[in-house]
Amino acid sequence: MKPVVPLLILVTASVASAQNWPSFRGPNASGVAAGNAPTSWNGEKSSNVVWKTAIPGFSHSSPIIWGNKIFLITAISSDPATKFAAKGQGIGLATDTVKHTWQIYCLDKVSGKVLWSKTAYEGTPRAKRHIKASQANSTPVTDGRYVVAMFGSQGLDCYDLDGKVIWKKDVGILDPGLWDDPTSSWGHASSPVIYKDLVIIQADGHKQSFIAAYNLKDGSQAWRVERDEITSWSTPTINASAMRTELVANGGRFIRGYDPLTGKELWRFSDDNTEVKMQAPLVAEGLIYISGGYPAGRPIYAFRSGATGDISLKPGQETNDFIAWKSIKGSPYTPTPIIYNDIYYACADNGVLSAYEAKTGERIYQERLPSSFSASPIAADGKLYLASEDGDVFVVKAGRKFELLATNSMGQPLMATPAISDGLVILRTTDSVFAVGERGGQSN
Amino acid sequence: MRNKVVKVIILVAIIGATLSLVTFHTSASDPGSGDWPMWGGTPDRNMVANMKGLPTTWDVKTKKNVKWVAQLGSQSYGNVVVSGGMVFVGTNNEGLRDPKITGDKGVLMAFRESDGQFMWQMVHDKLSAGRVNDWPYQGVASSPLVEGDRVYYVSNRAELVCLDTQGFRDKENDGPVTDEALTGETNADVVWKFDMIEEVGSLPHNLANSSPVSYGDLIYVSTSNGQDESHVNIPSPKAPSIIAVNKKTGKLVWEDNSVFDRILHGQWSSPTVGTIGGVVQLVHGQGDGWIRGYEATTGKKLWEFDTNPKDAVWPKTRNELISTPVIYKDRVYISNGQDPEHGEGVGHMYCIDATKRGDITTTGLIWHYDKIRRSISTPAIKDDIVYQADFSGFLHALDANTGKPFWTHDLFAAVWGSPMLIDGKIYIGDEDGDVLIMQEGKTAKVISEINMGSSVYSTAVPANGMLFITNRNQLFALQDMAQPKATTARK
Repeated sequence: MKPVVPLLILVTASVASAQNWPSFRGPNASGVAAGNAPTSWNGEKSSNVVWKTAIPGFSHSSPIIWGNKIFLITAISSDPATKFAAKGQGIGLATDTVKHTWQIYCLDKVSGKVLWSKTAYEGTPRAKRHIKASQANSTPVTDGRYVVAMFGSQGLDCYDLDGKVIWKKDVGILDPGLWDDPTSSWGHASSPVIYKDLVIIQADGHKQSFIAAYNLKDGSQAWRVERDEITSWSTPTINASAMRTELVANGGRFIRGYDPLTGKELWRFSDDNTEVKMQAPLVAEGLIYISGGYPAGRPIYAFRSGATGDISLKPGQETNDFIAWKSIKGSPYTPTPIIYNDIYYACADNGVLSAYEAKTGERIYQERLPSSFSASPIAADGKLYLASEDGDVFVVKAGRKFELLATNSMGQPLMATPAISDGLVILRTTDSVFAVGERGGQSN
Repeated sequence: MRNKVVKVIILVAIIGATLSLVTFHTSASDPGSGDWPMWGGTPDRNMVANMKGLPTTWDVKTKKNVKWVAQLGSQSYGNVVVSGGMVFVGTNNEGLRDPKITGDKGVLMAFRESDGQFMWQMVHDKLSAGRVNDWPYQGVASSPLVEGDRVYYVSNRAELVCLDTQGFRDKENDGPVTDEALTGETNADVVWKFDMIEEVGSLPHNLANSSPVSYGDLIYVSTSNGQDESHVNIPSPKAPSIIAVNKKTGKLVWEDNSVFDRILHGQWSSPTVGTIGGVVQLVHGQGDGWIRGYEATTGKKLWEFDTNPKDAVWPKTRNELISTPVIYKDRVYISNGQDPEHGEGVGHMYCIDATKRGDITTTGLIWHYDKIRRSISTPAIKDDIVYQADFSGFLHALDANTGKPFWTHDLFAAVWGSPMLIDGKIYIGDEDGDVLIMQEGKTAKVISEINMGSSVYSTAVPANGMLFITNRNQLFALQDMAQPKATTARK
């Protein structure tokens, strides 16, 4: 912590704008923030590091921001040797048979100081995890009144912004794994979303696949729909189009739209051969972008809003009225793509960054970043930020010509999607949260 | 199908194979018959074809230069082989060729080469232990070996299977196995099976996939013995890595288990045969990341070479061997890598002097190339240039004598298959379903890139003037319709 003079200037500016990043991938799950954002820093050498705060345990969930408060969750194993396999180490089951403690933290955005923390749960995890996962994969969500934190099989918790527990809810054992192997349990990852007075969760697992909405004020169930779905890890997205607002859910069998107030299914699209859905639907340009899945050669779809009923392609059909464009290849496996200034960027797990015209799907460029990725790209200030499993944040100039502006080392794997607020990029490494900004910290 | 003509063909095939071993110094591994009867074309696995007039443009949508298309299952990882007017390929059962047989199975399909007519299929139930031994929906991933009227491959049940190329269409039930339940004209005629689980105690990790190779009376396959689902234990450390089976009787002739309990994960590299320093060798990449050479007829171990730096740590930096070794001018070329599920990472490629004996990790090293990523692809070598792809999606062209790179080309998508060199051109498919065609040589030049509609896990296979490429669920027979057919006739 280095309270230097330039920081005070930054503080003044940030209080005035109080830029929120309220959920996984920020405002409207777009991944995009307004305003300035830094280009160069070094987390290992503390260059342009405004603050760094150690967080016990580890979690792949993202920090969220409301006003000057940052919220994040963690899972702390009582066995200090508990780890995750950062990259390239294959499939495996981490059994986590020792006591864990799940916590929520609130940090001051300006200083990084811990304002409060709460222990949400203690005990042996109710579900196993993939060796690459954590026991706290879901990003919390806030509307400025409530903060809802999803602890997977442990439960769903609602707090006020000062850390007071509003309600706690057991949502059952959530154990998504290999779709055809009920013994595999890789850990829940879908993040909650808030719409009006409801918090909505998607949980597609072996035993039960459902989407449910709970009233923010008391946790009572507003609606719940059972889904004839295989396992998934995707976070649903609110699509507020001109004609109606719908909740779009990715899935291994069907991509579907729901009425977020009632859970009524509005439309569905059959998506064959894409079993492992991890990416969130992306809404921009009046279109709904869906990607992801397994095996490789994953398609990208851009759907027009307003569909009703089953809009699946019929045998032999290549397209229909609801498909604005599609690509039979090019989707990443893990990171959710982003649309920024009319360009759709997809960063594949292996670092291949592809840019497409968002409206037409025409490919603009394909380049390669020398790393591998689980976190989703975010953007601000004419720049894309791509946080890698090797611990580097690549800063790429947005636009039709690829230009790598900076490679910023953090020294630890970056699994969580970062957040941006008031000129700061908030990054989560394995054991710490960093705020980086051009005017912060040592600049030598 | 048992008659004199066939026996003559077998003899010719055996002599042909032997000759190609003796005279393998010629630049290409093209079997010379027009056929492509095994993974790699010839036992040295160097995928170089002398054939001319194969297509460099086609369109799977408009069917330009597409002679025929055959539906496979939903996933196809093996490679096509072509022999005697038939095309054989492994896949799963999602194609439901026999509507009465449903559910997940491993399938070997046989098609007529001239028009893609489905002839027969062999169907294997999945192993009961599930994905630890037999991963769902991956089907038969072994590329068969055809010699005369016999087709040999490894099933998803870890059986080395010998079938009659004609199935039951010849109205004969060839044995010793004659108790097939299905004997219709689209069913396979089993000659013999060698169950590697029962006979040598192999417990394949995730999938048995070895592509057989032969020399004389022997068929060689990897057992795919590996870890259990814990990824810690080797339940069957005494099972061999490599076995040699008599091709007529289906009986075990020799086996080797130099790996013992040092298997890093699984064993998915297929064996290679060639004459090195005047000795016919069986060369095999094994589960401890070492590659070993054996006297082909006796199984006597001649040499072994560690493909990992001594300080490498599994799985971050230590790799297994999935690529097939290639023999070229007395030398062995191989790259290491990992299971595709492990993603991308650092890799190593080696050129080895296999005339040396013992632990030749130091003494047999001609060169080591460490600018490659993890690879599961097999190199192709022509005019002293090695073309080697990696799983990150780079194609490397290296000097075969020094390992110095001439160029690398980024395909931007993972490569599961291998480069095939045909008539001065490199053909290579990728996970995006693109088949890239480049000019051979010391400078990189792209000729064309053609999308196949879904991922290409396989290698483009040339035979009799056609090019055979599978995507996930279809087999395409491609032919340059502008070419005069006379140049591509089979003898």
